[in-house]
Order: sequence, then C-alpha cells, then structure tokens
Amino acid sequence: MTRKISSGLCIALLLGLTSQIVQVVFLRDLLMVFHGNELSIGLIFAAWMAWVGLGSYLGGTISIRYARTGVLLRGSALGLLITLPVTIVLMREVRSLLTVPPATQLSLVDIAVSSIVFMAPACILMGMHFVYIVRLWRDEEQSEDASAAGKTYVSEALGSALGGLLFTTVLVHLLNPLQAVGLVGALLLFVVMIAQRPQGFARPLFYIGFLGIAALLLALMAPLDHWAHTRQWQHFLPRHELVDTQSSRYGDIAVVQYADQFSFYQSGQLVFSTAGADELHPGWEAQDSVSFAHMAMTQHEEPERVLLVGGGLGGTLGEILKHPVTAIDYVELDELLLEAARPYLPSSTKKALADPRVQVLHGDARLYVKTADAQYDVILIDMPDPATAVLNRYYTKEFFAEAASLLGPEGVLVLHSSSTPQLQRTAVANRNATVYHTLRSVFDHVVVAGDRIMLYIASQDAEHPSVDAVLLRRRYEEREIVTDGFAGSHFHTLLEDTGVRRVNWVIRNHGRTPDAHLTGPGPQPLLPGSLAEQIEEEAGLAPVNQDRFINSDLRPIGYFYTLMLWDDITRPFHQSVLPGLLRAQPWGVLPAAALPLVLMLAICLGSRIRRRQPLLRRLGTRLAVLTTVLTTGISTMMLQITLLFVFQSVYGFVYELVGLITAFFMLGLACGAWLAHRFLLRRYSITMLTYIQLMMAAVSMLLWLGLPAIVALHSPALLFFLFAMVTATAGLINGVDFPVAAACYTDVHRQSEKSAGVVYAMELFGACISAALASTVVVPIFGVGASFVLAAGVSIIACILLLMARGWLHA
Amino acid sequence: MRKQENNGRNQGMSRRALLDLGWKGMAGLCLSALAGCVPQQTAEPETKTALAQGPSKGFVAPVPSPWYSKLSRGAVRCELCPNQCTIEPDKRGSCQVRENKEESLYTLAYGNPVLVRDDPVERNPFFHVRPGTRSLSLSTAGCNLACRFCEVWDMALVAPEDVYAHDMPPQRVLEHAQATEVGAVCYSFGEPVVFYEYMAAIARLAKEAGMLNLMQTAGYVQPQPLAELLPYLDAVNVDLKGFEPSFYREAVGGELEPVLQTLKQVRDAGVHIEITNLLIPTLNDDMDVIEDMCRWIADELGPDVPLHFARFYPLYKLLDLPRTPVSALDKARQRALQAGLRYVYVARVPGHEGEDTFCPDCGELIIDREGFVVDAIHVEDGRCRFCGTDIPGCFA
Repeated sequence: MTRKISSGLCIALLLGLTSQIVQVVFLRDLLMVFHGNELSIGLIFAAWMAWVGLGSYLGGTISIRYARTGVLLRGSALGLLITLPVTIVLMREVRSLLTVPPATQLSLVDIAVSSIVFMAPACILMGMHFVYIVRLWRDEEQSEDASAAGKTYVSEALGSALGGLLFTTVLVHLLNPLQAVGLVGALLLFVVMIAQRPQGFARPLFYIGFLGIAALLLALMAPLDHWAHTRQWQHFLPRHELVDTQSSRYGDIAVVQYADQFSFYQSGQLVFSTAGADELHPGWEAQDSVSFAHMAMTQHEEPERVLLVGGGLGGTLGEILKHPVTAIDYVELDELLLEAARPYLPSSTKKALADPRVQVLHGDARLYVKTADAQYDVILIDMPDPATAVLNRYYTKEFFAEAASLLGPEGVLVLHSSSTPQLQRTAVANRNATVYHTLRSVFDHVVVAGDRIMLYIASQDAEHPSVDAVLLRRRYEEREIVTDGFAGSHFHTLLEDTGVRRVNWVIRNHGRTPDAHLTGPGPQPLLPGSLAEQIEEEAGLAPVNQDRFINSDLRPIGYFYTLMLWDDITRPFHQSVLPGLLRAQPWGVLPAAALPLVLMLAICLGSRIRRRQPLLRRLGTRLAVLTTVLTTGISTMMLQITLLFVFQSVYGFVYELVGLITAFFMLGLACGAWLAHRFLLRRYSITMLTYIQLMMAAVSMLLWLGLPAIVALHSPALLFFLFAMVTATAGLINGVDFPVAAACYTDVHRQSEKSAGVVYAMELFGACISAALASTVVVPIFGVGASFVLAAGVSIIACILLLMARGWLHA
Repeated sequence: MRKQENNGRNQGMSRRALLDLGWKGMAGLCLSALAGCVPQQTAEPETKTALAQGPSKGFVAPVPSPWYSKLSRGAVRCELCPNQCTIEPDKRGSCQVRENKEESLYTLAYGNPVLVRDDPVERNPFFHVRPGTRSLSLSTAGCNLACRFCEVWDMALVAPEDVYAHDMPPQRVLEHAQATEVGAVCYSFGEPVVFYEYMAAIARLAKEAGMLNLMQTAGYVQPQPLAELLPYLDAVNVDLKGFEPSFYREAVGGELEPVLQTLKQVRDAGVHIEITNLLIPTLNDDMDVIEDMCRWIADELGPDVPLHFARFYPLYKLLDLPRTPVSALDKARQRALQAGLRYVYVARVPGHEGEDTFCPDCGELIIDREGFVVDAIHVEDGRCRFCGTDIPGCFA
C-alpha cells in the first residue's frame, strides 16, 4: 500500500515536472519561429491550456469506459515520449509547412494556427494523464470521494515548481531541447512502468534497460536537435550558415554568418549584426550604430560619464570611446549573449570591451537605474523596439524619470525606435508619438529626427537636445575623431531640414485628440514650420491624451502599438482586429459576466416547481461550481500574469527572482490543496466555496487599492517579500479552491474521474482566457488596476452564483 | 391537486419562455458588446471638398483614365501596366487606385498627393542630374507591385482612403514648386505609374515652365502609356530590383521582362536613365546574376548608364533579414565595373567611396559626395573639367 501511494505521488510529481519543462521548451522553441511578442506568448499559453483542458475532459470520459488504468497510463506516457520530440521537430518545420517566405515574420493567423495545431497531441496526452493518475490513486485507495483529484493536483503543482527550478538551474545548461523533453518523457514512462509493472517483470533488468534507453535517447537527440535547428534556419535565412546556438535562460541565441557578416538572434529576433573579426572597416558595416553613437555623444559639450543600456556589441561602444569620455557603464542583461558573440566580434569592439574606461554590468537596466549612485552626462538607450512587456519597461515614464535622476543638469538621454519615413499608418504614428509624449512628460525638451529609425533626444536643459547639423558637426570635428562610416558631413544628411520639420510636426501634433489613437495622425501642412517655431507653438497645442499616449508601467500601451505595427506588417490583406480592441470599453465584459447570472436566475425560478426541483437544483449546483472553477482559473491566471508583470517593472527583471515568484505561486497552490485535503474536505460545502471566492475577490481588491503604495516602496527586499507573499496567497486560494470544488462537483456528478476531468478542464479554460487576454489587452489598454478589478469582479460573480445555489448540494 | 398541477405547468411554460427570452437577450447583449470590438471603416465619403487647402483623410477626386478596354458584363481591363487587371464594376485594380465606375476606368490618384516635399535630388537617387540641387518630390497612395522590402509601405501599399492627401491639382503643384524655388519635379517615393495621368498633367506644366521632370519608378508600365509620357521626362531612375524572373514573381509581385522593356524604351527615347538595384542578402545578391545584369545593361543600354547598388536594411516584411554586408556591395560594384559599366555607385552607405563620381577616362574625382551633401563638382557643361570627357546626364 505504501509503495502504491508513493507511486501515485511519483507519477503525479513527474507529470507536473514534465509538463512544466515541456511548456518552457515549447515556448522557447516556438518563440524562435514566431516573432517574440506578447501576443504570441499569450497565444501559446492559451493554446496549451485549452488542449490540456480538453485532454483532461477526454481522459475523464475514456477512463470511465475503460477500466484498466495501468494500460491507459502506460499508453499516454509512451505517447508522450514519442510525441514530445516529434512536436519540437515539427515546430521547427513550421515555416516550410506553412510556406512562409524566407526572412519574413509569421502573421497572427500563422501563429495562432501553428501553436494550436502543433501543441495539440502532447497537451491532450498530458491532460489525459492527469485524470488517469486521479483514477490510479482512487483505485489504490478504494475511495469514491474526490480526495484523489486533490492529491493529484497538489503533487502536480509541486512537480511543476520543481520542473521550473530544474530547467533553469540545470537542464538549460546541460541539455538541448530535444534531449530535455526526451529525458523527462523517458523518466515518466519509466516510473509508470515501475508502478504498473506487468507480472513477472525482472526489476534489475528493467533498470538497466531504462538506463540504456535513456542513454540512447540522449545520444540520438543531439544530432537530431542539430539537424532540426539547421533545417529551421535554412528555411528562415537560406544561404546563411548557422555557426552557433546557445541556450540562454533569457531565450535561445543563434549566431549566423553570411559572407563576412555575423548576425545574432535571440528568441528568433535579430538583435544585431557585426562585421566579422577580420573585417577591416567595421564602421561601414555597423553604420546605424556608429551614427547613433556620434549623434548622441555630440549632444553634450563635454561628455565624460556615459551610461549605455544594451547595444554595445553592435558597434556603439567602440564609437563612444572615441569621444573624450572618462567612464562608460555598459548595462547588458544577458551575459551569455556577450560570451556567444565574443568570438565573432570585430577587433574594435573587443578592444572597447577591454578598455579600462568601460565597466560592463550584467543585469537589468531598470534595476540598475533604481539603485545606481552615479551621475551621467549622456545616457544612450540602444534597445530593441518595445515589442514585449519586458522590453516596454525601457520606454515607460517611470524608467525615463529614473534615468533622468541620474543625469547632470545638462545631461542628455538619447534613444531610438523603428519607424517609417512618412509615419502614415495609425500604429507606427501611435507608437512613436507615445515614445515622444512619454519622454516629454519627464523631460522639458525633446527633439526628434530620423526616417526608418527615429531618434529621440531629451534633456531638462533647453540648450541641449539639438538637431543643428552645424553645431553637432563642429563639436564632432573639434574632437578630431577618426572613424569608418561616419564624418562630420553626415550630420547634414541625417538631420536634413525638411525631414526634421516633418517628423517633429507629426509626432508633436499626434495624440492630442480623444480619438487620435484610433484615427492616426492628422493632416500635415505642406511645409511644417521650423523646429524652433514648432517648439514655441507646442505650449498652445491641445493637451496630450494621457491614457493613450503616455506609456507607463501600470498602463504599458507602448507594446500594444508595437503589436499593431507588427500586425500591419505581417497580415496578408485582412482587416486587423487589434484597432478594434483599442475601441473596447470596460463595460464590454458585462454581457459575458451577466450570462451565468441570468442562467442561474432562470434555474432558481424554475426550481420552484417541485417536480423538476431535483434536476434543476443539480443543474444549478453544477453551473455554480463550474462557473466558480472557471472564474478561479481566470482570476488566478490574471493575478499571476499581472503580478509578475508589475514586479518586473517595479523591481526589475531578475531571472531567478521572477522564477522564484512563480515557484511561490506553485508552492502556495500546493499548500492550499494540501490544506484543503487535510482539513476542509471532510465538511466541504457550497458555503465553504463561497468563502474561498470571497477571499479571492478580497485579495484582488486589496491589490487594486494597495498597488500605488506598493509601487512607491523603495526597499527592494520589502518589494520582493510583498510580491512573493501576495503571489503565494493567490496560489493558496487557488489550491484550496480546486479540491473543494472537485468534491462539490463529484457530489452532483457522481463519477469521480470525469468530475476531476471536467473541473480541471474548466479551470484550465479560465486560465486560457486570461492568458490570451491579460497581457495582450487588459494590461496595456486598461491598465494593471483593471486587471485586478476584473479578477475581483469574476470572483464576485462566482460568489453570487454560489449564494444562489447554497443548501442545494446535500438537500 | 389538478389545479395546482395546471398552475405548475403554466408557471413552467412561462418560465421556459422566460428562460428562452433570457438566452436570446444575453445573446443580443453579447453581440452588441462584440460590435464594439468590430473594426469600423473610418473612410470618409469619396467627395471632393471644394478648394480645400489642407489635406483630408481619404481625399480622392476621381478622373477618367484613357488606359482601359471594355470587356463583357460591365468589366474593364486596365491597360496602364503589365498587370492588366480585369476590374469588375465598382471594383479596383491591384494598385488600389484604379476603379471601374459605370464601365469606365477612373483613377483615384489624381490631384491628391500624400507626399509633397523638397529634397536633394541625390535622395531619389539621381547622381547625374544637377548634383547638389533640390527637387520637389511627389507621390500618391497606391502601387502596382507588392515588394516585401517596401520602404514606404504605409504610404504606397494602402488605399487612398487610408491616408491623408493634399488637395493639389497640377497647377497648384507647379505653383508650389516655383514657390519653393526648386528646379525639378520628381515623381518619386511611391510608384508614379499608378498616378500616371496626374504625373503627365504636372509634367506638361513643369516643362512649359522650364523645370526638369524626373521619374523614379519600378518601370512596371505598358509601352504605349510610357511612350506618351517620355517626351516630357528629362531623367528616369528605374528600380531594377533583380535579374531573375523568379525573384520578381516571389518577392516583388510582378514580372522581370516588362521592366527590361521599359529600360530599352526609355533608352531609345534618348531620356537619361539611372538604375537602382537594391541588393538584398540571399534574395537577389548572387554575384553571377549581378554580372549578367550588368552585361545586359552595358549591351542593351550602354556602358554610360549609372548604376546604384543600394544597401538593404531590415524593413517591412523582411524585418529579420540582416542588412547587406558592405563587402557584398563592394563586390557587386567590382563586378559591374568589370562588366564594362562606367558609373557604378554604392547607395545608402553615406561616406563610402562608391558615392563619388570618377571620370571613366582620366580617373579623377569629378563629383565628391557625402550622403546627400555634394562637396565638389568638377563637371562643366556636361564634361569632365580635367579631360573633357562627356559625362552622361543633365548638368545644365
């Protein structure tokens, strides 16, 4: 008996471990194929949860019809072992399967279709596996109640926490993705085989056999991984040679070579290109970075202390050193990126990295600017566009304010974003106007220049941000700089007057009407006034639409516009749905929220008829319990995503801490489920479920009310503690909820596995809705507060439903 | 008892009805909420606001086009470009600016430029047309091709309804050009073929006023309309985007052959030609193909045609394709010079030696450029100041 219980526990733990590792591996691999934006991440999570949910529902149905749990478990474990590597190989073939042209990005439709189709088999199998474990546990204990579901839930949650930890600390460094999933798949099958060993199976032989198979798998997966990777890159960039791949915890890194040029990709996005080590004129190769560096450095008369955020490897760092600087602090998040790039960098960049004036700081720039005790003359932000929530943190007013506090009175901050020369479409104009207005909300003086790359120069001092080609040229030439790819005359080309007038006019005037974010930039005059005239006129312009054109940590609209821009570029001639989301109003959720209430009301009225009472009451109880599980899925996922997001913005992105906070959620979940199992299941009731929902609503509301106070905290340790505790509490409530809900549902449904399957499916479906909406719509458009209110709102609806159904369960 | 039952049934019926009503009501509510999210067309009505000075969104002033033939059942075939779109009644061609209205073809790209600005001629790029001067660049919405690497996709690959356009009849364009004191009008940035009638009308006026007419185009146009336009043009820069038909089909959305025909036709008309070739890594940078292209140019158009190899930067749909290595541009330039072309440039690498003009006979630097800035010109009356060799182009 003891052995059997521990085997059930082992399988559930391993399932949790497997699913967490597979989820991370799938996400990383798919992001290499997709463009790594918030929408693709949301879609991948949503598809994952929808399929696991369907799997658990199907598993419930199958396990009723087919009594031999052992066979089912072995079957699904074997299925997983085969499906997982095949899925990864297929994911890398997405481009050729969908006939996506080389070097183009996948559209929203491509991403939705491929994440839904490719993850289906593995996710369904994992969902089924969950229900089979519940069944196994129940068979072993000969019990008819829902305790098996609760125990499976606890063990799986613990396994997930363990899996996440194992992957980031060990597996990511030692194994390639195919080896990782092969290994956990084999382990799962092994444990299932041991637990459900057929009669007469010799144990030592079995262990040896397993070790042999595992070793063989690891050996086979190495060349298979390389082969699949190479094919993927051949489809993506034909005739480029894939010279190196590295697994960084921040995303897979790939180095490709074309002629004498090396390009570096992280999570499928081009980070930078450089001339190779033997190239004689790297300045020509990296002309964008070279121009950016000189444009920024000539903004200040005597730039001595410089902060460079990102981008140093692309050529910026070496050029900054050609100015009379005494110290450069260069903040680069990913140490592995630098290590991966080092062998291929031109000698000028290598020399710059070794220069005693340069201090390379590995870590999150948000965290750095919060804690740094330094004063700078120039801050250069050389980051990719705000395409994700994490990148968007370098474009918010809070970050600009933090950076501004590190600038001397004449200090200048310079950053860039991609653009089009005409700024005609809504998305591109909205995004770039948002960057401008956000900067302007912090700095008194901001000027803009550029065409395909827009440059923003900001300072508190009126004299400093300058697009005066003559002045900048003079400063540049006085410093007697010798470089490839740049000369004093370039200022005249980069700052050509009519172009400067036009982009300044569009960006300064856009975003000043209530519906500017929907209509795009307004009409431009044939020849806009000079920059000096425009600056003078700006005070008389209508105020900026703060909700739509100021990018803040708590309403990060910047990455939504970048998403729209990506959709503009990739979608093949269909109308975009994203601008429609911008039109959405908060009350738009009311009909969906009212639906279960109206249904319940109808059931309440109907149940007054005595003849139909039992049936309707059962139906009502089911509706109430299932809605509760659904809203729990919605609100916990909403809280989890939002809390992680706020933590990254307010505290800074530290991989281990973000991982730890996720682990706290899982621990809370496991504790909650254990507590429920130990103390509550004996007297579970609808009322108890109501209290749990009330707690959830209360926590969400408290978060909404307390958030401004939390954000204002300055102690990092206290911040971390608070976020960890709040996340663990959300996990705890979720953990308590599941077993109690499963028990209540089993009471009306009677079939234990099927109930567990349905309840688990419903919770995952709720989580799926949240995953798709939280970071793509709710947070950027309505703000972080809205997401807490939404979480509270859905819990309250569940409460009302449960109140209406109270007393029906045991009647 | 019976009475109670009846009551119950009645109640049951009414409750069922209530339930039913509730369902329908909810469905209605949900739909109305969804309606809030459905994208709404923000297009303005297609009416001309009389003499409006400022631009307005979606402003079009449809003008009949002569370049079409009638087909059966009310359809027309546009004869302006090699696409030869068959356009059903009230539909548009693939360029989005030519519409079948009552069995006649109308252009919606007339008098409504989206882009009007004065620029150095070097930006277009014209390197042999009055170096160091400025021209008035002009473009409307719409394009008859669909390049994956379009730089102005938010202006060219859209319908006129989606962008703001200035209300500028040809006469106003001329007045504006004169007011800004430019010496030339350049039909550029978008695709001038799609606003052919507008371009032709302005070109006539500009020529009468003594200005140069420059066209920067993909050259995707039918011979007859081109023939009628050429007498008004002084210089044409044709984007020869590649030299492989498959590249044109896949990445540009057209055919190569008509572009080559255009080049020959412009050459035969004696109009100055420059050619721009955007060198896109892996897509059109096979050096042997480039050499074939250069030989074709030298043989068919003559070795004096200036050729610009432009650097590709990650753009539009090719956002994840690395920029052209400068070494590839150097190699292409070398091949072109070996193939016998005498004026081969590197574009969009400001400061590169390939931006300068060297006299093919005496080898002296005759035009010194840094980006759009011309530092020195040693060309007098179209001749090299050092050896007197004729330099092709418009230097007067």
